[in-house]
This record gives sequence, structure tokens and C-alpha cells, in this order.
Amino acid sequence: MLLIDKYAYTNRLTNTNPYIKFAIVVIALAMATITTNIYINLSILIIMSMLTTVVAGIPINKYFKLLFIPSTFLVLSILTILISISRVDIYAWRIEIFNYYIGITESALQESILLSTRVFAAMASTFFLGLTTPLNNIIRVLKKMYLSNVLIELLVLIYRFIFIFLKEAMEIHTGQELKFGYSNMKNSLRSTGLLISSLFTRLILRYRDMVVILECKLYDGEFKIGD
Amino acid sequence: MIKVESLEYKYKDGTKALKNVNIDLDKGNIIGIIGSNGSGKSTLFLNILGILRPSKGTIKYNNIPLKYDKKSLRNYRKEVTMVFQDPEKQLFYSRVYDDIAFALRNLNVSEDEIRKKVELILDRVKAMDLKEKPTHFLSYGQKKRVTIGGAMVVDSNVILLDEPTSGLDPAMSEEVMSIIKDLSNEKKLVVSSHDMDFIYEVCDYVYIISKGEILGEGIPEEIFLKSKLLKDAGLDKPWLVKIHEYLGIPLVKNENELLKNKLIKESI
Amino acid sequence: MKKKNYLILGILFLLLSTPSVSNAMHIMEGFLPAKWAIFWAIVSLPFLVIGLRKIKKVFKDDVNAKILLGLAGGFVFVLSALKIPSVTGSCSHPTGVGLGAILFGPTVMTVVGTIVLLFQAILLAHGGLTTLGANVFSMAIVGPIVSYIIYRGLKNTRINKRFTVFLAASFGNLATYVVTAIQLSVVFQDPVTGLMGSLAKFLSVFAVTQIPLAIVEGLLTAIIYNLLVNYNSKGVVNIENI
Repeated sequence: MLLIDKYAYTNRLTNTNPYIKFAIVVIALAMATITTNIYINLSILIIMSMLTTVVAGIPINKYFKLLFIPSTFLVLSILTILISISRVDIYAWRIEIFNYYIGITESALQESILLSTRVFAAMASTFFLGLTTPLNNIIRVLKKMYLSNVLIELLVLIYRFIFIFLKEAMEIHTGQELKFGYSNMKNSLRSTGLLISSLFTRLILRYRDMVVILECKLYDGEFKIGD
Repeated sequence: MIKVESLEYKYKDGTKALKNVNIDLDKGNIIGIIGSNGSGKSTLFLNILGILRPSKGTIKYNNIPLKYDKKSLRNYRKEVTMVFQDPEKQLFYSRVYDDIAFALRNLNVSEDEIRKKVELILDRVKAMDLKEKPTHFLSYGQKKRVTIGGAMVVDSNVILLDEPTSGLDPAMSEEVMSIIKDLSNEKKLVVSSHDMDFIYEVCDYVYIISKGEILGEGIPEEIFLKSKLLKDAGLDKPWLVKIHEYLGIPLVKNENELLKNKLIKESI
Repeated sequence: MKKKNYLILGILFLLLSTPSVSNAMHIMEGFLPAKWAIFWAIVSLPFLVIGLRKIKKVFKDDVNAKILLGLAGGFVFVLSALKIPSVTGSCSHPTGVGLGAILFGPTVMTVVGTIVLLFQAILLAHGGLTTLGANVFSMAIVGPIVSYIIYRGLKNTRINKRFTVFLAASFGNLATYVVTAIQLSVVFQDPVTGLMGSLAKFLSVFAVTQIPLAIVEGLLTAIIYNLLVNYNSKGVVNIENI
């Protein structure tokens, strides 16, 4: 289910130095968000995309699909920024309804274009990180950056446990689907509620068992990850 | 090494999960504990581990009764450890190497030592190629082997294994069986399983538990002949025992012996 | 034993409450220019630090709390990856704002929420690394605090517990939505109508999805709360103090 995670472990750049990849992405993100130049953003977009698809070997069609995940938010937000409603006419393009003007100003247009390029440049950068670098390695980099130990431990644990719950959630969901659990709104709501409570109950039971198992592993309070 | 004497364990609501259980782990190298679901196997294991405290009776390790204070338990757990049935619960890290190294890191072993030991273990459970893999990408069988490795690394004297072959395909079962046989050369093993054939082939002494009580015990070649006992416990017979009984073929320990045995060839 | 239950309950809510780390209200990657990205990160930082401090203290008292928190984090993440149909027909992800903060405290929620948001940015392409600060503020700080206040405030009144839960969850959600709208409108002020104009725009545009979502989630949380109280009374899960 987590496609990005799968690619992170199976692409051509999986085993390359994570510190370098991390640094590249940080620089790219910084450039995209600090400068206000459309061409820089587009360059970043192109370079990152090439790195991800050509160098790392992520299939292009999958890559584009990923880029469009947040498209709803993007489109909605850009439209919101683009369009203004007022009684005053200072628009580059507008229509008139009753006494109001609904239109797009020149500045809004510029801003939207810049925003779009910036968003895609940034997304391409983050995708490069996510698609080529296993999260375990990312955590190691964060550890070297002196992030709080407790935080690192939680990152390690949560990353591991995500997959336990994903598997269970899918199993429960499939079981429910087979019993027409999602055939209409009311059922869906109820099934989802049941799914979540089941997951939670299993969480508590897992917790109890894990406490026992941890004792057998001589757990002393720390989840070290060495180097 | 471990003796369970007159063990009684009660749940919070008063029902007795275990009644007057007596077990001597010195009776064999690989001891099998068999019983139907709900017979008390898991509860017994948890008592032996010191996770649960008996309401009556004692658990003795090297003739010394278990002490339940934190320090004693911690030392005890370096001697006696367990591999649980569900591998998912026993994998705490997303990298196989880290998960196997876990217990060693808890003991503050140096990273160099850890590297050596982990690689040794990975080799023994035939999981060397999985060393850097993320745990969530492993198949069920691979996860099982990794969890066995994770317990082996504690380097205890006794390892309890709860249903080590459940859910495994035949090939994987064979592998686990050979890992267990290999381990028995240095450690005492206690195994519980629903797979009678597995128990028959691997164990050299068997306890039958039913409704919290020990119904019988003995070496596999004898205990599995006791039809009534097995029936009362809700258990079946290993196939090698069955063909011995139905076809009059001599009782052999495993399939290989069956194929090699001249007498059998002749009688068929 | 009591402490453990307290923890378990806390986690329970923590999960349910974890910041709306999952709905379309994540500000996407690259949306905010550096100035604002850093601003919100700085604003969120103290809360994170306080949360970490509190967690460290909890861990000292109970070594196993780490596992519980880890499980909770995994749970919340998966929750946020689920899809539930919204009344408007589109699909959304559940969030669970606020309820968790109720027992465990919104400060701890902040930490788990931040981690989940980080994972979402990398693994699910929800939200972003540059917008982490802003999202943490709306979803891991304000949302939980609002839910917490509402739940606590109505706790000792005679209002039906389930309804209280519903209100706490819905309003936590709504709070997140409002904060996000503010965060966006401050950056992208309307050229004609200024800040208030853009605020009005963003609030109204997102209201269409966010208000129904808040209601649905409120209902969902109340349902789950109910089920858990049931489990508690049947001794399946040992929770006190609900």
C-alpha cells in the first residue's frame, strides 16, 4: 500500500549515501522557497524529476501519478488565490455580476504562476528524498543531526508499527467489504467505526504481549539503533 | 535445569488455568508440550518464564526456586527465553539486523561484537540474505526465522518455542525443524505445537496437557501409542504411528528411516 | 496499575485525537515561501519541546509507555490513510483532532502528531516538509488544544458524554480548518480585498469539504468512544476514567 516506501528500497539509488541525498533535497527546498524566480523553480523541478526517474529508475507514469496526489488542494487553493470579488474594477480579466466584479488581477496571476512552479519544484524534491531513500536511512541522518533521542526512538518504533496496522486494517477492511460493509453511507460509517475500534483493541492486546516479549529481550528502556 | 513442581495458576476470576503441573525439563533435550487449544500451554510457558506467578507450587531453575524481584527476573531471562507464535509482535525494528541486535544492544555489547554475533545467528537461521531488509517486506516464514534468531542472540540455556511451525509451508517447516535440531546440540528446547508429526520427529520427551492438567508424559514412541490418552486430550496421532498401528509396520522415528527400513519394504 | 490504565486511556484518546493529520487540510509541499515556513516552524517549536519534555518524564516512570506511544503513532498514521466517504460525496481521510489530547494532554499529542505528519509528508505525499511547521501548528497544536478544552469544559456538566465527545472532536477539526485558512490567507492576501478578503475566500472554499468532514468525524469519534466504553465495561480493554 505504501508505494513510496516500496520504491525507496528497490530503486537504483537505494544504497547511495543518504547524507548526500538529504543535503541535495534540503538545498533544493531552500532554493525553491527562498527565491522567487520561476525559472529556478522550473529548473529544480526538471533536475529532481530527472534524478528520480532517469537516474533512480522510478517509472515515469507512476511518478506523475504521485505528483498529482495533492492536486485537489492545489487546484482549489490556486483558484482561491486567483479569483477576487469586489466592487472595484482593477482586474486584468473579469466578469460582472450584479454590482460585483469577479476577476483575476495581474498580481494574482503572477503570484499563482510562481506558486505553482514553487509547489512542483518542492514536491519533486521531497519525492526525490522519499522515493530514493529508505526511511530507516532518513532516520539515521536525523539522528546525526542531534534530534532528541526520544524523538528518534519514537520515529523508529512508529515506522515499524505502521506496517503492522496497515496489514490489519486491510484485512479487516476486506472482510467487511465481503459482507457489504461499504455498500452505502450508513454502512460505511459504521464499518469504519468498527474497523477503527478493532484496530484500537488489537493495539491494546498487542501492547500487552509486547510488554512480555520486551522482558524476554532484556529491554531496559531504550531502543538503540547503533550507527 | 528447570523443574516445575505442583504448579497451580489461577486467573483473576478464580478459575484454575493450571492444576498440579509437574514438569522436569531434564527428561529430554527437546521437550514437547502438546494439548488442544485452551489446554493451558501458553499459560504454562508464561509461568515458566516468570511472567506469570503461580498461585501454588514452584518453578525451579537449577534447583533454586524462582525469585520474582526485578533483578532476579532479569538474570533469569538471560538463561531462559522464548519465541512466541506471532512473529509480528516480536519485530520491533524495520531492519532485520537491528531487530536481531536488539537484545545485545540492551546488554550494552560493543557494536563490533554485535556485528559478529548477529552475522553468526543470521547464518544459522539461514537468513543472511535478509540482513539489511526491512522487516515489513519479509514473508511469514522469513519473519518466523528472524524471530527465532532474535531469541537465539540472547544466548540463553533454555529456549521455549510456541508453535514454531504454525502457518509455515512444508519447505519452511523443514527449515525450522532443522534449525531446532541444530540448536538442541547446545540448548535445551521446549516446544509446543499442534503438529503431531513435527513433535513426534523432533522431540525426545513429551508432556500431554489438557484442561490445565498433565494427562501423561513419556518418550514419543510410547506416549503416542496411548490412544485413549490422546483422545481425552483432543489430540491425534502422528502418521508414522498410525501406519505402524494400522499396517503392522515397525515404529520408526521419521520418514527417512521408513524409506530405508528393509523390513518395511519386505512387508509391503 | 492505575497509571498504566491512565496511559492506555491516554493513548486511546491520543489516537483518536491526533491532529487532523490526514485530511485535505494539509498545506501541501512548497506552498509556503521560506519566510512563513520558518515562521510557523519557530512558533510550533516551543510546543514540541514542551511535549518532548513531558514524554520524557512519562517514559521515566514507565518504560513500556514508549511502546504504547509507538503503537499509537502507527495507529494514527494508518487511520489517516483510510478513506471515508464524506457527505458531499468526495472521499476524505479521518483525522481525530483533539480527543486524544483530553487525557494525555495536548502537549504529548503535539509530538506524536509531528511524527505522523513527517511520515505523511514523506510516505504519503500529504502535507510537506517545508510546511511541516504550519501543519504541526494547526493540526498537532491548536486542534488538540481546542478539543481538550471543550471536552474538559463540558466534562462536569450534565451534558451527555457522547455528545461532548462529538463536540470536542468536531470543533477540534473546525479549529484546524480555521487556522489553516488563516495561515494561507496571511500569505496570499487578496490584491483587492486584502487579508480579510482572502480569509473570507479560503474559509468559504474549504468550508464545503471541511465542515461536513468535521461533522462526520465527530460522529465517528463518538461511535468509537461508545464502542470503547462498551469494551471497558465488558473488561475487554481495561480503561478507567473515561
